[in-house]
Amino acid sequence: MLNRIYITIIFFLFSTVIYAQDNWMLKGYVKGMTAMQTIDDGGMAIENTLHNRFDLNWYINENFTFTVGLRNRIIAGNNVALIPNYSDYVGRDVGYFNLSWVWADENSWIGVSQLDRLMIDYSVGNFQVTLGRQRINWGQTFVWNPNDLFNTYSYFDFDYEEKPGSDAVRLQYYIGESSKIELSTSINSDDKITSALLYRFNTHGYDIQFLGGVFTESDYVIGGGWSGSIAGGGFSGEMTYYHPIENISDENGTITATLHYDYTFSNSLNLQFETLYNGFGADDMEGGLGEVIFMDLSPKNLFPTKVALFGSGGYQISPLINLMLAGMYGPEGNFVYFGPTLAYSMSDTMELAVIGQYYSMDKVEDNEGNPLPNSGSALFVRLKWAF
Amino acid sequence: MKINLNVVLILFFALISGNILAQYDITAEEIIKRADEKMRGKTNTTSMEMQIIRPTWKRSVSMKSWGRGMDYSMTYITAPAKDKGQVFLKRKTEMWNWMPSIGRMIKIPASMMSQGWMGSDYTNDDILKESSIVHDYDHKIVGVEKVESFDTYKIEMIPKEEAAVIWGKIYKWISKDDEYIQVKSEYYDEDDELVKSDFAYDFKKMDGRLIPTRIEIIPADEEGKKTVLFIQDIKFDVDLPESFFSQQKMKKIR
Repeated sequence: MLNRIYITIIFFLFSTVIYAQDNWMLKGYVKGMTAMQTIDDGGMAIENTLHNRFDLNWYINENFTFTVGLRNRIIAGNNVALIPNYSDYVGRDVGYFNLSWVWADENSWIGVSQLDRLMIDYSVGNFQVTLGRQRINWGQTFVWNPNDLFNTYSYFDFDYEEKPGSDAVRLQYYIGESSKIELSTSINSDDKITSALLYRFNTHGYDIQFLGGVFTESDYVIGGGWSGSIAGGGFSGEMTYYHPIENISDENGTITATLHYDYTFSNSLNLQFETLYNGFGADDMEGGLGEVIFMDLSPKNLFPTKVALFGSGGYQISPLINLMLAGMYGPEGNFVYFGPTLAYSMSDTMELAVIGQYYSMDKVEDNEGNPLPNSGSALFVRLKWAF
Repeated sequence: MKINLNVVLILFFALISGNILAQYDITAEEIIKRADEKMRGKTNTTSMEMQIIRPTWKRSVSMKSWGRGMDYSMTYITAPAKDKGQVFLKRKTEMWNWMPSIGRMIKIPASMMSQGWMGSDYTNDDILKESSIVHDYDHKIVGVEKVESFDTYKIEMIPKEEAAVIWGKIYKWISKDDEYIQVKSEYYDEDDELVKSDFAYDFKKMDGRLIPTRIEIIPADEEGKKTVLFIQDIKFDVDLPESFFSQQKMKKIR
């Protein structure tokens, strides 16, 4: 606890020390969001979140850059009182260092802060080393990312725009203007190491990558991905193969893969399609709605079932108003998701968004035969001020 | 008095233009080439703000950009706050977007490049200089006119058949002095309807060249709408080798 207080104090000290110089950048936002949620045919739960973020870059000199990202949230509403250990869930930290802390845990509200970026970057010539909590993003597709071994995120957690970071050492060597070799090694909260080598290059209009390494000391992984285009639209894909280290002689590897296509028409209509094959998935939605929403995400658990399909359409109703409709379908367990988003630009710094979410799936029961929640809907109204 | 002089000048040019056009010691293509070279240089770095003005609202975006010929450019967004820090890289026909907040390099497909920003009258094609006003058109001097305070050549530009150009025809008015300023342009669609015009104002010497620091782009037949570019700083022929336009540089630039 003391350590985290020190880090926060250091953060604000840095902010003031470097305020007078032009070798820094501070940006962030404040968001206020009201969520109205119902599960099955139950009553409505209301949650209000005040969400603030600071991102500070300090360009120490030509070679060194120091980056901090601080995320603060105050959450008030029914879930805080009704869901047991809600503060533990909200305040969990999957990194090796626990840089999250719940500083208020009252009956009706929680205050939680997290340093989700805290890194020092050193570059010289074609070489770059990044040490600390950082986001290592190897994804090529947009909804699920089998190649993203270091920080998986949930598509449904739309309000966490920056996505989590991991505690890692990242070595990158740039071979050319659009190619590099990278060795990244991270350690998670269970003291397990993930380490992998990535080679990315560009040829014939395609970005192509290959990767291989060890995932959380449990599996050997090998994979690849690409981003290119077909008929002017974006075409990308990823695949990762996992082989358990313990049973190296068995032929029981598992594959996860995605395929993505998007096209933007001249009238601004943007269509996206993505499909997931998840070898680790079950044959039905055995955990019910809770598993989808509170899923303990990892590259080996991108979705509860084996197959999922995604489609979305975005359209600018006017230059200031953007409408998006997104849908997802999982044939095993008849999982259906539908999510409309309406975003309105109020000014250069203010945005108002209304986001809907609807989930449904076949009825499921727990081990004792009790029915689990299998449908739900939510409406979010969010005001964002960026600085 | 001044008006009278203009009328006289115009009449004079109208009378003699048929003769004089054949006798210019400079071709239309050469004029466009010099005008293009003047605003672009071999390389350039530019800071600018773009305002989108509509009858009921206004939005603006600010950026720094680095360019080398037609093939290489990099753009760093400095405002608005929500987009600050994003970088775009163009290398020949390929384009990437670096989003530092999520640490992701996104390859942008061609279909996404034709979108204007926030409904701007300035399209990505204008920003990225996908088509060349020199190589993609046939040029002809069709007159000599006075625009604002400049004596200009009026040049008609018809796209070459094989060129991937969205316009049916362009007129440009280019100053006759050594500065080769693009004082005014008109863009027509394939049905010969005027789509938009642009006008250059507020000339200042920057890096030894006379530069319009305010360019207004006005869509035809749309009352109260315009897009205004403010050039805050521009430098030419700075040292920007091809290797500058790299994914590594995208992550460092600011």
